[in-house]
Amino acid sequence: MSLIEIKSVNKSFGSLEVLKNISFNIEKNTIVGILGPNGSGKSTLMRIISGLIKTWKGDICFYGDSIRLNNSYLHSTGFLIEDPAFYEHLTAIENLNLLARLSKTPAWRINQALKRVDLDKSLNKKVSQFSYGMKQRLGIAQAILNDADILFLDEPNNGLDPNGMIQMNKTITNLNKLGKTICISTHILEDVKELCSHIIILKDGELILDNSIENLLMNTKKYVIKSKNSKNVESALSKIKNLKIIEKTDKKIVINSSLKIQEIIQLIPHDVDIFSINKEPDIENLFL
Amino acid sequence: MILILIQNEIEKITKRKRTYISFVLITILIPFIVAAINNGGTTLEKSIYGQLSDSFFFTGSLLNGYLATYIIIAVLINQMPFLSTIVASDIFSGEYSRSTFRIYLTRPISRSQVLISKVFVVLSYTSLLMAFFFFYSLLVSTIWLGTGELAVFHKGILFLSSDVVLFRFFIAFFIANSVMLTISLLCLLISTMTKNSITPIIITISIVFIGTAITYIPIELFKKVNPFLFTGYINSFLKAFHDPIPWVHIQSMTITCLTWSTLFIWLSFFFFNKKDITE
Repeated sequence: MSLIEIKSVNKSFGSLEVLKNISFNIEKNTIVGILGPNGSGKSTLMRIISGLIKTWKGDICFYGDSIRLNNSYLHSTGFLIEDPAFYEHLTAIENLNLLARLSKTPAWRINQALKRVDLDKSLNKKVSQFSYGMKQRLGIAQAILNDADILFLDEPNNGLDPNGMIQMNKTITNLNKLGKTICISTHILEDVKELCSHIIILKDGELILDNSIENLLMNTKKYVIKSKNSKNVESALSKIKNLKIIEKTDKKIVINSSLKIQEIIQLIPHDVDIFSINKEPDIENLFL
Repeated sequence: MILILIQNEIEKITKRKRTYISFVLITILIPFIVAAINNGGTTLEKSIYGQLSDSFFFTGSLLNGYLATYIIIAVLINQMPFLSTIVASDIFSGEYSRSTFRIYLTRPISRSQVLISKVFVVLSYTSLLMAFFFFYSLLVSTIWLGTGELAVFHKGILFLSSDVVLFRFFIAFFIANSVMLTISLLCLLISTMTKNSITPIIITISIVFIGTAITYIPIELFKKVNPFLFTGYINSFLKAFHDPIPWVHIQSMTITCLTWSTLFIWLSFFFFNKKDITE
């Protein structure tokens, strides 16, 4: 049985159809990336699952039980919906205390959650004094507070600097290693490639892809070649038929080819220094 | 769960500075008014006696703490909706505008219980504020001006003995508080519909203003409608100082306020439970 089953979900705001007949499943212990441009319906879907949006059509089941019937599934879920919004006049620990009481979470979990996101030294600081990155991490802390089985993180890297993004991705990977199922909505393709095991793509409220990274890799024609010097690699590749260079940087070349990975390796002369050749899912094309 | 939600609501409002604005204002304002009443005592007495001083000879002073409190309440009661709705106006709209519901309502709680906890806090705040307004005025006035009989206008000048005055103030508090609670619940209802904290205060005060105007406009239709409007009872606390106490009037005031309050709470449930949190 899937952890979450989303069945024919529709949502309109007035005459604007935001979600059109969306159906997919979320399996246990996966990291699912919900990808889509702004306005594609990612946040709306998360708000529906979290119970923030009340009027919608279709059904969503948590371990087979409809979430419409009761909200006890919220004991096993954690949400970070868009920018984290806390009570700014309260401290970090006071904010988490308010939330912990609601899910009857023991007090020691608050400190544990703050430690996991590296905010244990700022627990008595008012949230109004927090930077955006700190608030985002506090958002993760509140989401993991009740030791949820599944976390829904809406644009978790939004507004973070590169260091913050690396730290956030590490936190997400670690949480997955701890057995958490994670559902991330994002419009950043790199996040999905780096983190996810399954991809959902939404566009204009419609589901246009529901597949695992594994399947996408099997069908991809896209390869990333990393080397010391791209120029040598480029000249070697230019001599190979059925191959097209689509992106080039100093140390990385992205190609599109119907050849298999072994065939490409054999066709590149041995004196050309290559670090790695990896298949990459061609999400960009699907996304666009 | 409801107790936890109430505890949370109390924590949210007690740690905000704006919650105390009303209390601070009353604390500062009342001693000034008592001082002013004390200072202009002779003029005040003359205006109370009016033409009676032509026919009667008065000894002693009518001015005491009870009369000062009576005057203070009569003067300030129409301003109290501004202060008593400070918490109610922000209780939902503040959460919408700051997007805090985005985290709070993803917990395993029912919206109806969240609403009940917020209603409880609004009613408690309003009652506390009104009690503070009445009894702080009484305390400051009686300490400053002493006690004695209370002279009020009802079918001429009516003297209420000091034994019954406190009881009369309690009844006055009950009447004024009932109306103010209804006003706060109206403000809470509007707060469930808007994400701007000022809008509920403006709409509530406008409704109170229009309702009060209806009370004073001598049109037959308005006279018929007025007993069914809670705004018609905003100055009814004065009736607590009549002799005999008009219990029938107090009863109809209680029923009217209860009916409107129930309607406002029910509508708040309806709007809040159906509301999509998209902010």
